[in-house]
Amino acid sequence: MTSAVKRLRLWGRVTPYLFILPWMIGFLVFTLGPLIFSLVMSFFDWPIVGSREFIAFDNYLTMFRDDPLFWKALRVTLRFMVLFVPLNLMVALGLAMLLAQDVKGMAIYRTCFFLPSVISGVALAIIWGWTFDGQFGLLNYGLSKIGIKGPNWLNDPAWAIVAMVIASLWGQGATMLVFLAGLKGIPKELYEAAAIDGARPAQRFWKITLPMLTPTILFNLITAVIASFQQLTLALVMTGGGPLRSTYFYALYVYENAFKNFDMGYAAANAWIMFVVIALMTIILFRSSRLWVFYES
Amino acid sequence: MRFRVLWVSLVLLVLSAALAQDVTLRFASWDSGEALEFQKQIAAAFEAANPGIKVQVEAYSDGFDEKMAAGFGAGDPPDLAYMWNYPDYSPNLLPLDDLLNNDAEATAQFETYYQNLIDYNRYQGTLYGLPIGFSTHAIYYNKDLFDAAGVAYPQEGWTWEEFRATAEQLTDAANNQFGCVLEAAPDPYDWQAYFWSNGGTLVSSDGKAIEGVLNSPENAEVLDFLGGMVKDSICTLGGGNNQMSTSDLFASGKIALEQDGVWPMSQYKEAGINFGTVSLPGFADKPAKNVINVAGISIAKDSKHPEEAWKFAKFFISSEAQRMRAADLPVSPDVAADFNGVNMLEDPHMSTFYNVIEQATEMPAFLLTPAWSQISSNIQNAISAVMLGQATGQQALDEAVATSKRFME
Repeated sequence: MTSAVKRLRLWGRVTPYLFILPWMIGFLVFTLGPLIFSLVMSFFDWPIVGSREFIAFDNYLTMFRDDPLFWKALRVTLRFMVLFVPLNLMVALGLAMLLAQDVKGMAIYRTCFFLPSVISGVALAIIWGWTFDGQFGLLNYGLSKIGIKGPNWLNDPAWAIVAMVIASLWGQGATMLVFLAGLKGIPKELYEAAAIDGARPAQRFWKITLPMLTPTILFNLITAVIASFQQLTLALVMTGGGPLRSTYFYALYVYENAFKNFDMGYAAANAWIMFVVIALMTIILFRSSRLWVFYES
Repeated sequence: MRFRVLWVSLVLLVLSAALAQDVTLRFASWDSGEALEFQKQIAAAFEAANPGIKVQVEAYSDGFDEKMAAGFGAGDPPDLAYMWNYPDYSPNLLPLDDLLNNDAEATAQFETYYQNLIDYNRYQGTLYGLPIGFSTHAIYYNKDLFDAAGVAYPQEGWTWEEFRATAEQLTDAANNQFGCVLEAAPDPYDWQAYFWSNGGTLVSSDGKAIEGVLNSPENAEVLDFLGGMVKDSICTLGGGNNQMSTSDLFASGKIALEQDGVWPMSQYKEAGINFGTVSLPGFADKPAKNVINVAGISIAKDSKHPEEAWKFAKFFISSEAQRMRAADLPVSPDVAADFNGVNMLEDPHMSTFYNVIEQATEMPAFLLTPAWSQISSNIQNAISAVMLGQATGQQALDEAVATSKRFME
């Protein structure tokens, strides 16, 4: 009798783990495993075909000393980040504030604005490729209607990166939703009290909405920084990194080293440097948050 | 009872034998569209002539290198593949010298070939592919534009200075008509012909050095000269993202001179362009050079059916199969002399492409260094920078050397 109870108890304790077992296996096999594997790889000369050779830190040294493209890709990515991140936050917040209003048919508007995020990245890139076409593109057609001769977006080294930013701003859905949730979380009483005190809408925005939203902004800021570092699809499909490597993003650099130059070890080292840079940026942002993020406690 | 067992086992035996005999060869191609259709027809003709062997044509198209690498990496490569990049792939390819020498039929077929075409399929002395089709490069010119402007057609043995002067006369900016078109981001492989013509080259002949070779004054001069024509609006640019290719532009009838292989010729005929062909110009008194794009067919070292694969490769170079291809030029002169009723060696359009084979005397860079596929994108970038007016030839090539050096060690 007692042994049966014991067995039942043990079973009860094991059951929850069985439920999460598929995810644990998935994590170990498809996330942690490849992660450790890529770290090992980064210390090897590891062609896809042919023999592997242990070369210690050579991949990392090559990157810093002998490969101008590493620095080029970093610079391009940083330039993209500087343009993309603030715009991304502003546009997403603006849309979220519009969608937080109480008007009829809001569910439809919300669906409409979220819809672009559902389109697969490659399809989106192809559509934007047509839109940006210098001669026949929709964008330049629209510009010509208001008397502006649009640039040859994807073939002009100065404009291609701007085109990338515009196309990236399209997929606002997730950021916008997080902002929307943040906005909904701000207690109504604050606004009511401020209105009674005679605060104008602009004052309410700067003194209530923005401070109360800072934790959400921090979250979106970090995800936007990471997203801009991992931007690959647009460049791969729309420009191939060109013209003149003006859209040669870091992720594309990693991709090319792996699948064009077939240098898996070097690409793994590249990817680890990307991880370190992202980790550093995240740490800096978290540290800085003490200065500007409002925690209610 | 005993009889029944016997029957069943007999049936099983016959069945398994029949199943075992059916060999399926996987054949990877980088082509798509019409060119791929020719290959499927050749495969079908081979299947009809060789019962028991099936050929599965796998169209890798633009993802060719990625899929090949994945196939070799996973130990599951296609049995046969289109090939040009022998330095990269040769460790995984079957050397063909012995197979060829022991096969009188194929040897006889091979002896009629142009020697250059065979050499392009050799790497470090070993034959890894059978040449199946090729193209050289020539200048197409639009006779109607020449006639309208009263300009004489270009003559064999002409120079780049004459090219420029001719193009200048045929440029009519008001009508959006240009003397010539250049690719904004060309395959540097094709432009080797220009560099060689000016006495330059991309990689030193021992395949070790690019410093002072790739960025030589001769090469910089070529880029500055060609970029100068773009800057002076004598040449327009083609290719690039969603842009019309140089051949699309020529087919639109607004371009007087265009450099290309044999590939777009049928497009021009369909577009009703009244065109002629002439060999590439030379620089001043230096001899003009040409470069050949050769496609070979190779067998994977790990193929489980090397005998059947060899049979198919041999079929692919047979006169019968060569006549089924129309996307590029046949490799045997006797096939070219009677290609479905056309004598390509005398045809006014086609003969130019055969006549310049002997100008392809230089060793292309990809056979000199295994780093070609890595450094070629840097060279392409350099050419592009000059064409877009962002750098001088010297600056652009110096940068290409800086970004490429690490691959040369």
